[in-house]
Amino acid sequence: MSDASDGPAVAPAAGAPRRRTRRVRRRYNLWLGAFLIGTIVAGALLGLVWSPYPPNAIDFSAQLQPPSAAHPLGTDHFGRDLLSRLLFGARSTLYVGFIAVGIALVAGTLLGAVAGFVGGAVDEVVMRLVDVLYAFPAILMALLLAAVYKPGTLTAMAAIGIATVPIFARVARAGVLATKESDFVEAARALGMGEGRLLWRHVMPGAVGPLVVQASLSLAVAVLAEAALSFLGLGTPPDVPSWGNMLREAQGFLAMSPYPALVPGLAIVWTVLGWSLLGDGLRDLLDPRTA
Amino acid sequence: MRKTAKAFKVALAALLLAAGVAAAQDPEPVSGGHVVVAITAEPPGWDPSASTSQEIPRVVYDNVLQGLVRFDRTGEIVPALATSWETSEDGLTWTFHLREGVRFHDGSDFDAEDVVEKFTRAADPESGHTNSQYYEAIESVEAIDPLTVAFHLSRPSSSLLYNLARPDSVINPAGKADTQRTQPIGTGAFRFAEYVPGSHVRLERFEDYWEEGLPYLDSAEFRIISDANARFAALQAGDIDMIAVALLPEQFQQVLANPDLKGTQGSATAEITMALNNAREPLNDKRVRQAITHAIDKNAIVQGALFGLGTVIGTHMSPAENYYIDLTDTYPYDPERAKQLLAEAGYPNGFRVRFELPEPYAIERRTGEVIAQQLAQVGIEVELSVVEWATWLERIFLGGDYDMTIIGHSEPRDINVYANPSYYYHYDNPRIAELLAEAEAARTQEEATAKYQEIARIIAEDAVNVWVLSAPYLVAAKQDVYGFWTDQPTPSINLVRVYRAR
Amino acid sequence: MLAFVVRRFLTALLSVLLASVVVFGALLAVPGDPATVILGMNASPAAREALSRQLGLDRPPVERYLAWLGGAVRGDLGESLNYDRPVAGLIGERLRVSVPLAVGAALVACLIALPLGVFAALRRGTFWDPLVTSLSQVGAAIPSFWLGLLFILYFAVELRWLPASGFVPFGQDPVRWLRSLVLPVLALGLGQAAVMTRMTRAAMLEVLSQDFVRTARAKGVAQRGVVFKHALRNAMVTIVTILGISLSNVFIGSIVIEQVFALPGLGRLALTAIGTRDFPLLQGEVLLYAATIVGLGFLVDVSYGLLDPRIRYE
Repeated sequence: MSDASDGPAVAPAAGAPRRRTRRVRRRYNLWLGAFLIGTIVAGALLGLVWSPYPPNAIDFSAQLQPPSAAHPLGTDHFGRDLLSRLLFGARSTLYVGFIAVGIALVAGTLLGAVAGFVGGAVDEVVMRLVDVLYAFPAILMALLLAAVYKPGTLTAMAAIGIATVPIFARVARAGVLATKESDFVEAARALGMGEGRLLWRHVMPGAVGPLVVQASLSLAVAVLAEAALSFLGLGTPPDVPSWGNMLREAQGFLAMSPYPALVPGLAIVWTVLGWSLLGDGLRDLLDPRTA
Repeated sequence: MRKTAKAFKVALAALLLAAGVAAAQDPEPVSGGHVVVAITAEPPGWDPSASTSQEIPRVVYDNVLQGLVRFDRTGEIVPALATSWETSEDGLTWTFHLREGVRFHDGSDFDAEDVVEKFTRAADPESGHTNSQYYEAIESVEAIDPLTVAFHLSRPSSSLLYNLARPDSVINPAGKADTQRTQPIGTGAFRFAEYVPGSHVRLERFEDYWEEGLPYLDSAEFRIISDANARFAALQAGDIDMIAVALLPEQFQQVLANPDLKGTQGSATAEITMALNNAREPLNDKRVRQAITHAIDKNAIVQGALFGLGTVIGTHMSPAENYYIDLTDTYPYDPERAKQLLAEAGYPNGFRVRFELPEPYAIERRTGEVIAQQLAQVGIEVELSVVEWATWLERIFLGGDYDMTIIGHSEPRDINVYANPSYYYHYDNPRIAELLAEAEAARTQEEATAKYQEIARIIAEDAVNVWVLSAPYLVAAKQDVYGFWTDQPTPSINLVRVYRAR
Repeated sequence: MLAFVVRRFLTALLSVLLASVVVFGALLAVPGDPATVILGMNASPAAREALSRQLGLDRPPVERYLAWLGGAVRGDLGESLNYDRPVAGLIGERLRVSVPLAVGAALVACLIALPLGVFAALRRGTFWDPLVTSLSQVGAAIPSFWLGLLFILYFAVELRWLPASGFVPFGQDPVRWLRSLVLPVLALGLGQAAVMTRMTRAAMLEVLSQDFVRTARAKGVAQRGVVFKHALRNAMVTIVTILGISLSNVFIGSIVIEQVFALPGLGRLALTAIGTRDFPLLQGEVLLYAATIVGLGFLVDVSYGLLDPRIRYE
């Protein structure tokens, strides 16, 4: 599970000769990313209300067919329509991604913000705990969780979520550290504002930018992670189509028909690319030096 | 590239025919050579009497370890370390004459002492020996002289000889039972030369083997490749020479179409069984179980999902077992009847149920997925989940905590499990135990068979489980490999008579 | 400087310890135990009990953990419940596979990413930059195991140039050893290369924008001189971080790659250990893994301290 980002909140350089191409490129990242993700979200929403066939409808008379009028993207080894499964899978993929990153965002931000704001011993202890999480291989975590409960969407989300907490904690902490010494915070404190409120209303907003960027980048990683976990058999159950699932099942039939493997594989690349570009674009947008 | 399942089957039939013709002219055995065979998993240890994992006998049965008698490739029980045997009039004493001049791999001689130690341990339920129920009738084992052993039974047992041929009954040198797990020593054609965990097992020819001229091969390697696709890719790339376990139907197709490889299809003793928890609602109602059986189109599963590779069955028996009886018509595919029965039982709108699939087994998982769809057609809503093996063993198999699950029961002649109400099916019918005892006491094999078939009929009628199919035994090998078993009367990748010749 | 190093080391140690406790706790909570898995389906309760006792599973959990810990501190990682052999030996064997794989992949990644990243940073504003960036974006989006499968299908099955799976030890046949590692290393390394290219580029850009670079340029120092003398040295900090991240990513990614290429490495050993509830083996591996990650982090921190005196005094 590689980290598809440039590294946490490393801002691009300012001061290099501003050329038209840079401004265009900045927009290109954002819009292309938004477009890619938009299509996936649209597909997922569509899949909620309609698909050409029920995604799990088995039809042994139509196994492993290439794209045709009846099946625009072809069929898999059970004769199930790949387009329908793709639409349904978009939902699974987004769902796992959002929840996992959501968990990480909330938990990580909490930990990191408190650590950064309070500082001192609290900071040390919290960050050491975070380091432990960082040192723990997420796949092993997923395996252990899968064995304790059962392999499935929940365990995949939990594992990916827990493994991503350290990154958010670090970003939140960095963001908080950057703003907490600034003048307006000092002023608010002098005016008698409570520490909690201070943290929430004045310091946190400074960290929001990098967090949003990180969220987008982590979503890219989460999609890849879900695929990897499903490939190992630890992701969504067999009756819930997800792209990782589809890839896993398609392996054995590669020689008979490439489509069951190509379709979800390309969808994964599309989505991961979308999130990465979106994240990069947001970073360019939110970086005060280039805005 | 318009391939449909139908085209596959036509091609399959044609190619099998061609393969059959070619096989009729096998070349003469050639001495020497090395063979690399893929296996799917490594068991915890290599002693078949310490663990019931089927992976163990695949590697060591007859190749390394042997018992008094053994199965030949057709399933006949033939002499191994015993050359002949008699039974007393009352059936309570079995006398075995042991083969002379047999050596173990560690150089020691094989004699009655080894037999006595082995079977005394086997018959002792506290010893940790597997399947002590197979030896339950043995009261004591006595060495009459170094080449003669007498088994004293507490009651006549028609199944004793069969059980003595099983992998559990292989004989180790006296005093070495504890090290068999890591360093199995036996009397077989190959020595267990090396085991690198996670990688492979190496066997080497045993020069003092008692069968003249055997084995043909100098050495063999069992390579552990757990991923089905990696395994197959290795065969196609030429890295390994043979796959004789867990070959998937779609891979078999490709083998037949590949001029460098050949494939054989034979029979095995694995019943892919969809187990129903007979003690849990609503499955405790026979009508519901009947309905489930009627709702499943076994033929569609075999033809569609498994490309025609498998035999539909109707009870806990495989065609390869010599007591087989075909009961597939007990409750044939009839979705309307299924809905009727469900309504009668009080579930006109069906019900929800959990169906748990074991992670390591692709055929079972695939079958389960199709079944879930078929059950949905009659209103039974199935919640599928995949369970990791250790958890499956602990919670479902040992704990009996499940609604429905599916697994291949590959142990041959294991219909006796239905007599045990605490077996994970939770099926409680005292008549089965009675029939089993009658079978044991039977004086002729025909009588015993009749009893077993009666049991088969009862459990089919009671719809205890849904026995979907008997999985075929598929082997894929390079063209120059000959002599391997094409059937599996017992799990064994037997290399004793394998050779390589152009 | 010493205090800094010692502090970092102690916290590293604590991290590793905590990881081991978590794993132990998780294994306890999990259904299934080694005795059950070893004996398989048709085992009798008596047999299972006997084996449990033999494996020491009937002792209270805290006692078992402390016993393991005591041994680990002395360098004795205990015996695998499943394989009946010392854990250290088993892990050592697997290191033969996992280390070349990880190091090879990291090397491939660096050899591609560093030059490309620097190049893209320097060629900012021309079409080279977006080209490299786009390629690396797409490259980073491709699942490494999918790449591995495609490699196998093409290079091993179609072309028969390289083996599809399996591992040949160096001692047995160096040439075949190399050949058995080519595809896995590439599958793992290329994906990493894509990610690292972007990191390198970003790091270079960051450095290039700093004042001292502008000053050097203003003074008229040649472009190349600027780059290699000043920028690169200052970018080292970030690059070292990147290397650290890369190595740890590679360890994670190798589990899946080992699965695809059937390599007997640490990843698959861990999967087996969990599957058979082999506590000493799993603990040993997690210890190794955590120690490596934390150790790498520690080395990175220390090199920060060496490279940038400002950090030492925080």
